[in-house]
Amino acid sequence: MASSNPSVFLLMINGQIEGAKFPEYDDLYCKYCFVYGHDWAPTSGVEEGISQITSKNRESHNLVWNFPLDITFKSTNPFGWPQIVVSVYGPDTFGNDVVRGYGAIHIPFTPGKHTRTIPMFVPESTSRLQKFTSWLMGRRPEFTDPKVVAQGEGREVTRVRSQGFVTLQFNIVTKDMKKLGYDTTPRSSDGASVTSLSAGDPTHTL
Amino acid sequence: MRCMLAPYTAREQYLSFREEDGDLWITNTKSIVSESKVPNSQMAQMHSLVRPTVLISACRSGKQIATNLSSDINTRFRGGRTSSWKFRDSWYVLWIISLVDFITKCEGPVWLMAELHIIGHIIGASGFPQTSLFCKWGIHTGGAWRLLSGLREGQTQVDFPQVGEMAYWSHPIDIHYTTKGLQGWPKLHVQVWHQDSFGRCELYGYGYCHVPSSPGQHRLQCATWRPLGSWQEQLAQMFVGGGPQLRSPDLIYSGADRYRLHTVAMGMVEVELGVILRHFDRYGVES
Repeated sequence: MASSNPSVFLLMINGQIEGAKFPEYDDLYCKYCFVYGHDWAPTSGVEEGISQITSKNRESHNLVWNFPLDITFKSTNPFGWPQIVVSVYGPDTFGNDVVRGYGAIHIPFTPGKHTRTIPMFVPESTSRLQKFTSWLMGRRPEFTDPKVVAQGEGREVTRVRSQGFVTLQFNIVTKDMKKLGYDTTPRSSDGASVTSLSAGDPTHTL
Repeated sequence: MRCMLAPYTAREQYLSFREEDGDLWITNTKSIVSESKVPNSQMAQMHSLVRPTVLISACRSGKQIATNLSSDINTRFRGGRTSSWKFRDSWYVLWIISLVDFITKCEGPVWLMAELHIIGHIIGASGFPQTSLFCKWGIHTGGAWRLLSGLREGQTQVDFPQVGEMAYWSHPIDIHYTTKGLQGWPKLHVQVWHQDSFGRCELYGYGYCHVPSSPGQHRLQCATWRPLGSWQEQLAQMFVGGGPQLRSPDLIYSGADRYRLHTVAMGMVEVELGVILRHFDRYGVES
């Protein structure tokens, strides 16, 4: 474990998909997966999962999954930093499962606890004819691979409709990033403990 | 002086090796400029930037070290190529790897260029007259900055939000730069466009913000503006849409030629950027 000259750094992610807000839909479940660059590899944990189906609370209209995330990655290069891709599905009026939203976000890289709310969107048909036929058939457009929402290329051709939010919690631990020379937090926070000490202790002021 | 040639790419480029007064020199036969001397000590490395992204290193050593080294390099750099051979009394290992691999994966006393990673999202925009919006974005840097990997410009999807007044794009950004100087620290510039139900596009705003220079996660709000035409143009815009646009988008992030421009405030673009710095402290840069 203790190596003086590391060649990789580790990113440990603990967290949960807490829940969602979708004003128009109910009885939803979600899937998640991770998208990461070539230099990245998972060392332990599960890369994808599928949650239970949850219904809205009568008062708060919240959807709660409380679905655990637990994975560790190793890498040599921050480029291709992992993103979590979440897709939410639920039944339409005929009982078929249709997509209610896709969303993605980069895993935070500063150690500690983070809460992130990500917007969820679905692709829209571009032509009115397609819109009409999809309404008639009860099928709406979906991405064949949800991982496209984590990519920056080729998005200019898509039209989407954002219709909800998913809340995620992350507890991040990194190892050996500092040893490899990466600064992920501002220098002033290192010195924060020193200033608070001198402020609290009057003998330090000359 | 003795010479030998070694092919190293599919493009029929050759490296010539020659020895002069006990020093080994490597020259790329296509570009004479990249000639380098290999130090005489064992395991020493020589780096020569022959092609923009390819870096060549050579080292002289005993046979056992040479074989160990080439297998070590093969495991560490998946994309790299190595070869070893005997020339006179020493063994030489040559390896060809991309500059990115070299900078990020090599250890020890190699070039330590300062590196900057920008990782984040363009979240969305609010405060515009309509909510069906998309955004063209780009990152502008000074000449000392070099893009190693990632996209430096792009265009988001068009969002028609169902709830609320904000259009969400969640467009990912992941860029890796190295730099030799601080001038021209990266700036993110955006153009917000409105797309109506007929697919017509109209400019809604220009804006830019500096990429934060301190490491960590940052949430930025980028204020935008749009050029205002004459009163005739404004009247026409009220009825038929459209409106003036900048002829050169450089004006978004430069202050040089703005003094005669008349503009009006538009909405806000929200961006979340994470900044990771590497090796800036070795050059005494405080951030």
